[in-house]
Amino acid sequence: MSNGMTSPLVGQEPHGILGINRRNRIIDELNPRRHRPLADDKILTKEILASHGVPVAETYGVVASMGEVRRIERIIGDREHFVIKPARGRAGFGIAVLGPKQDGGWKGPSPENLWQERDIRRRLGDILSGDYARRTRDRALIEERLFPGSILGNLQVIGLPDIRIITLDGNPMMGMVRLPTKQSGGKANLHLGAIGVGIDLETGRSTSASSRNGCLTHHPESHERLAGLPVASWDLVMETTRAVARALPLRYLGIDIAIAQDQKPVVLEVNVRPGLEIQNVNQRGLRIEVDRILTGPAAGDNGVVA
Amino acid sequence: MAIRRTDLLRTLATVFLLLCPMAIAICRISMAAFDVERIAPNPGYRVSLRVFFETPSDTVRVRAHLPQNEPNLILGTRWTDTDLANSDEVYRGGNRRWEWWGETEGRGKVETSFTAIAKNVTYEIAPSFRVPGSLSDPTLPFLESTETIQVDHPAIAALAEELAPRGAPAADALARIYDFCGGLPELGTSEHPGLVVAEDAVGTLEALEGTALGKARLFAALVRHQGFPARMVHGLVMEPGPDRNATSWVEVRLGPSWVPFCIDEDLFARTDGRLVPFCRGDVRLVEANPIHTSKVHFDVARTFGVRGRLIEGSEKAASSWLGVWGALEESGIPLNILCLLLMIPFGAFICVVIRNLLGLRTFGFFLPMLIAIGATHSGLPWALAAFLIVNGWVYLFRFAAEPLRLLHYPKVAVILTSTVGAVLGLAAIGAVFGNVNLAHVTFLPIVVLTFATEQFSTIMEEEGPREVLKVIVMTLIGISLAYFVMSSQSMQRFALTFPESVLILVLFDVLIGSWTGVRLLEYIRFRRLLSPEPAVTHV
Repeated sequence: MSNGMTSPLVGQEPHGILGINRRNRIIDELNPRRHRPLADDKILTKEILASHGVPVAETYGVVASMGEVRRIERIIGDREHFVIKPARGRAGFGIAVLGPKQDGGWKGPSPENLWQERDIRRRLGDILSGDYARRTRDRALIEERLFPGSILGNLQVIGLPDIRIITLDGNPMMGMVRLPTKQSGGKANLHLGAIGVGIDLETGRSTSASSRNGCLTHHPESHERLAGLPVASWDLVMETTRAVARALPLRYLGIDIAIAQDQKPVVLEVNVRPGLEIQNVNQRGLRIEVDRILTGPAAGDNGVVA
Repeated sequence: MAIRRTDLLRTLATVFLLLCPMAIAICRISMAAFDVERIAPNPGYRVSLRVFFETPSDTVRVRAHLPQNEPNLILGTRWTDTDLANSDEVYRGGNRRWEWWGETEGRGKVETSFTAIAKNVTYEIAPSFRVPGSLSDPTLPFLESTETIQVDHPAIAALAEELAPRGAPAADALARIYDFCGGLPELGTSEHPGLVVAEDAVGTLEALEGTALGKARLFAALVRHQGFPARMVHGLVMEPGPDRNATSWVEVRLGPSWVPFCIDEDLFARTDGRLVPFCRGDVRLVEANPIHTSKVHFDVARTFGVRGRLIEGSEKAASSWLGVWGALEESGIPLNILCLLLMIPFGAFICVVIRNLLGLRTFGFFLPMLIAIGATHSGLPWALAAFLIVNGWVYLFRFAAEPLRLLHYPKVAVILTSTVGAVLGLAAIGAVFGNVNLAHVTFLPIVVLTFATEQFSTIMEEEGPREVLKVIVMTLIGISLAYFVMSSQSMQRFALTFPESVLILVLFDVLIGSWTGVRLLEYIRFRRLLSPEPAVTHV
């Protein structure tokens, strides 16, 4: 409450849990509303990141209105693989990963599904009318399809696993690798059953793991050990993370990075409201770290929230 | 570190929001000579009698006994709405009977409602009262044997002598008779519509089970036989809800007082402010003639007396808000609407507590409050059931409408329309079975409900059925919490007495809004981080 001498962003509880109330306050104060579209809109995010030299998937084209849907043919050209994404979609909904070409169509998300051009046009129409963007009109992004490299040791993967790093004022605070499972339908969404693997940010090795059912030591589907594995290209991942944080005028971020086939990190998206489940995955609270950064001498460029 | 401007503003707001309402309240109480009762409205009940009839073409006559002012009962102005042209009021045998009549065709109704404030009275039966003994004077009106209260029947006589021998202390004797009658199994007339149930004293005694009326008559017969003057009372128990059943009890003359004994409500020589007598003697409460089809409903709702006779005589202080509420009521804003309006800040506060302190995730932030408002008429179980049914319906309908591939708002309009259809369907089914409780709940929050199910499908898609189930359970808890606060009569009375207290609620909202601690449910969610070994801090 109104203590006067400490920032309300800094808590007094003995445990290190960062709760929703404090996270919301942090987001409210540190991620100015006018700048949030830079993270919420994937097209804007990619533009600004690319201009800062941060690796992102190559953009093939943007469809911004129904009139432009016709351009899709030219955008796709003779590409074997591509991805259609709603610019402001949430939790991976509305994304269509297509390819390779087959019988005049493209192989769709589920194996036996063949997408023809009219399927693509329909999906573009849905995206434009805001089906995946919480009822606001949206734009569709057509971009390079990323094929996963080995992200964590030699672990077998399905879908596109990614690394989520939470940063505050450019300081990486906590990280996890999210492994899609059959149960999660190939999505890197912890709620749907993906596995979260905690990462020691100093060494870039996995420490602990959990799914929505609790702690894990081994992958429930492939039975491989999950702790002690190195994250691929860790130094590059951390470098990319810092570059993303520098590029955006937002101070509290959840940065999602994939490891592409060439083992290089590629930024997938940036969240201004990253979830808190990462604390369970790492079996550690975020709050102490948050307090240290916001009050300590190592405070970011903008100093203490005052 | 400089004191933040926000903190300064919050401190100022806190001081203002705390001191202002307290100062106003203290000022007003002191003007009422420190008697809070003088600025508080009297709690009472709104009673509606509705008689529906259907006739090919005839003179319809509806007679109803209605309560009258008596020492323990104050009545507000009565309001009547009817299709019949004439009305008249007669006093007969101490009862006040209203009669409406006229030539009519087809369906029609008589609806009359009034506010009643019944006092809470407990009688102590002096030890000096003794059982007078059998049939001291059987010609007296309250001792006589009638067709339904067969005082002189041998079975009655034998039982009365056994339970209440002459000269025994009256209190003990009456208790024994009361316990005997009260101990008989209950026989509801409504559950066996085709069954003819004996409702007279002897019939009840022979069957050793009976209805409320039968047991009251048996009680009357037994006490009359032992020389206590007793009379039947027909009236209503003020249990809020639609379609209440009338009941009967007995008044026994002890010294200067008529003392009530209500077996149905287990009230021995007392009333608890809920018994409203409509008429006395063996007369019918309501009669419709000719009875082609007639339905009689009594609806009861909690209310407060804010004007007219309902506050006269209790010397309400000028510093009370009753004048304002009375004026608003006179200008056509019903008091129950006013109460709900005053309860909205409380409901909103509950929603804030549910979300920001407890951490319950509900469909639609204010939905629990809105459903709770809808439930004030029907009660909580109906509210929960209605929420589930309508939610299920909308989800199924959305599922069915999915192949139409509509744009968002037109789709919501279609779903909303279907929801209206579903709620009307519930109401129609309810009307056939004489219970519109389910429909009542959802009339008000129907739009919010439709939008809430929107969230329902989003959570289903993004977080899976397990989370949806959790959110449904939490929403039900939220509805219950909001209901208990908002429908509480003492809470409403408090708000009508101290409407300035909403400023305190704003204060609480401000305090919770500035609080950034861990929510209750988050302690469960992150319980693994609370384990004994200290969390490893990353430095």
